[in-house]
Amino acid sequence: MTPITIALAGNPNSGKTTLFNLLTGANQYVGNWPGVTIEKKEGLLLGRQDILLQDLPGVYSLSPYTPEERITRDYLSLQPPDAIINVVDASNLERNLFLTTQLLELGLPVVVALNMADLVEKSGDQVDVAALSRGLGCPVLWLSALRRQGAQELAQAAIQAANQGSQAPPDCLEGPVLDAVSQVEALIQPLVPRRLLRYSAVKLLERDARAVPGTGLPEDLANQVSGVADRLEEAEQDDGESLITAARYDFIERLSRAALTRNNPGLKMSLSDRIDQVVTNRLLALPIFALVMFLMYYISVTTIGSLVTGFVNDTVFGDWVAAPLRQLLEGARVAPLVSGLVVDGVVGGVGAVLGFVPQMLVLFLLLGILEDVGYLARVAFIMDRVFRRFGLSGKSFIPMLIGSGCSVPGIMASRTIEQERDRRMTIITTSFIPCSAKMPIIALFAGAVYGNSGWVAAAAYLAGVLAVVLSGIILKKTRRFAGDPAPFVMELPAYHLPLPRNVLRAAWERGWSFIKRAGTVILLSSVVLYLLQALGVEGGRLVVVDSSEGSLLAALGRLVAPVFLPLGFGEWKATVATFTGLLAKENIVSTYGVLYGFAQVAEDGAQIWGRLAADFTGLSAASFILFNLLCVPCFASVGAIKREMNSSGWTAFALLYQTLLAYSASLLVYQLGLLIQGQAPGLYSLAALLVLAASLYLLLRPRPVGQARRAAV
Amino acid sequence: MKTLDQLPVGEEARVVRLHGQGAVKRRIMEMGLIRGTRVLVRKLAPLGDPMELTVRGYELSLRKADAALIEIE
Amino acid sequence: MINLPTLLTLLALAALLALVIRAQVRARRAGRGCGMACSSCPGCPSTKVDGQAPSA
Repeated sequence: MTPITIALAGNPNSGKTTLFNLLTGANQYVGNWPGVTIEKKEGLLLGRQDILLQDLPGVYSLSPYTPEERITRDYLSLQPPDAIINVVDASNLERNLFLTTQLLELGLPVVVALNMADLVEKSGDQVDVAALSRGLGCPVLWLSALRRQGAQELAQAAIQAANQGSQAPPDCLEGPVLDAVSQVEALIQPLVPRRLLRYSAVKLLERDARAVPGTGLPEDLANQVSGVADRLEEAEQDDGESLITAARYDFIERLSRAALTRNNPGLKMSLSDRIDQVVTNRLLALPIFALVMFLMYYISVTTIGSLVTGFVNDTVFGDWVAAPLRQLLEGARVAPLVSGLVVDGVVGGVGAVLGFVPQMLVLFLLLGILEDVGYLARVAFIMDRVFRRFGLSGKSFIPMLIGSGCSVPGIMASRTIEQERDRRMTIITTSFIPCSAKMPIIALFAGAVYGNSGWVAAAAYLAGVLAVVLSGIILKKTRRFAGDPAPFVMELPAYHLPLPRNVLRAAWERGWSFIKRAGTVILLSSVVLYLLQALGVEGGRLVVVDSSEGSLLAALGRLVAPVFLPLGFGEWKATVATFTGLLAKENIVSTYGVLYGFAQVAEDGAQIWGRLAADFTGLSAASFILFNLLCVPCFASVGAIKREMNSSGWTAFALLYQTLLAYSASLLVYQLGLLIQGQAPGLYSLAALLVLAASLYLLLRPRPVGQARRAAV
Repeated sequence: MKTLDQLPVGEEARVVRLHGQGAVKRRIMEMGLIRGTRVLVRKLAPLGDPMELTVRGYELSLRKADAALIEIE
Repeated sequence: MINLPTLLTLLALAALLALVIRAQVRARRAGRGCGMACSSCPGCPSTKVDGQAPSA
């Protein structure tokens, strides 16, 4: 039996991907459409080996302007599926139907899925499905992807449609436009497959020659078609594209009058709007945003943090776990290396990180509430003007906000940015914003070196945003990235009360994920680390050393440490910590936990904080934090960057840029800080000044010549 | 000629004509802002830009520069 | 130096590590690139459907 292919098409945010996940479960293959950073998803329908589902990028129409649209229409015209499921957001019916009218012209069987049934129900609007179905000439079914209702029926209907073949599409066009289309159809009929006749004719009237499959039209035929278009435009005093778009919307309005009954026909302000009047207010918006962010970090890090972390580390791990375990092992006369491995290595390393779980949970909770309520979309709106000055659009801000939880979904969220240039730039800069894994580092140093000040977290966040903004400015002045940002046309969903169930679950999942990472990656790293710092080479033999200073790890660290001398932390422990941070940023904390014999220290009563404070000055700590915040993110994020960039060249550039930026920033902070403190200038400070000069040049130089607004994206 | 970017918050208008070319114009049209469409200015972002509009029952953010291409009455 | 208790402890540790490594490898093979199971990322196979995953 030959496999049937069903394509899923629809607007962005219509719930298409949720449906795809529902129908395919885990049987998905995710790759990329060739040559672009757009994800290509296929999967088998659950329970059927012979039905292939193809998820297409979210598009508003089949115009030729964005890569997503080009991919979608090329796929649908050149590699047609057997049926299309058009996912329509029923709460935005008219705009979604715009794409539907175009899909219907492709001559393929279409089944319309009215998604967001639950939202429509709540709003009190009513949709007459039968009338809609009659008007469109294809089956229309309800779907609530979120509630998992209607998916199976939808799949069945699509399979049936595929087997039955397509019906004739309704005529959404009429009058002179329809006449012109018919004329063009007659002209191109011998050259174009029957299925695509209407589609091609319409596209030609829109002056979109790329739409004709094959090598295009011979010149005289093209001229004749052009003539028809010219005459139409002359007669109607408007261009082809506008005429056809208007015709489509006329059709949609008629359909809407027949099938949709709105509960709130007036265009009046809702509660969401009144909230927004304050939140997006000219004067209040940015301060409110700053306040919200500060509160979020203050509550989780400073308040909960200082209270709970100390308790968890000293009491829970120190007294309850480490001490008894050590006694048990020593009592059983287990070799000191092994007992040390278990107590100081595993418990010390993992425990150091787990101490931060309470803070993280609170942070995740607050972040989840902000996301769920709908505030995040407002932020893009608010930041757009600011960002545009630096060459990015407000849409680039959302991945960064998500990135404050974890960089991986933040990097993936860059997909909502249409322009490839801006998307790449966002991917590169998203990880500058401190993610949840970096918070323990900040919290650790805040406690050890800065007296638990709430400003440390705020400063870190600010540094991240600054890095993003400055990167935007610098990169936008290079040829590769130059160009005006994409037109900012975006939807703002209404506010809604956060669903406690969802928020709690999301926070718990992320928290659990944090714990899992502690028990896996960090566990493994701690074991390896402990062994490396407990073993050394003396006289050509591998022995257990008295102090970690003589260990293999120290030797390795000292090899690389000089690199960090200009930055103020050129000693082996900091170097080692930085490298372990590549695996997972929390490792920096666990590494120090292991290296300072954390569990042992806790038992003795001394604090890990004390040892840390001894190793760092306020300035070198700042430099260290800065470097680790900005440099290459954890491997999982690098993986995400690689996937989203879809090019090793770009990935390499991203990583190189991040490292350079981190190094420069730390260098500047440390060296200039030293100068300000009154230290005599030296070679390194000279280097720092050079870097400063270079940076200022990159920031302030004029934009490249010839930066006109590009019409095509 | 009155354009959308000049419309104050809370006021409605009807689209008369779209100026401009290419991707921006196309995008605006696809969102449903065509001749005869009613549009309400719901709010402005803090720095005055972008504008938030209500079109055909949903909300849309549009830059003032792009709104300037839309002639209204 | 390698007495029975030491050996037992080492074995226990090794078993734990083996479990962890196996779970991680399995997770990555199943497409969960970061080996975790939160629902933050759209399109991640462990995304729960009603989770608040940001979608494109």
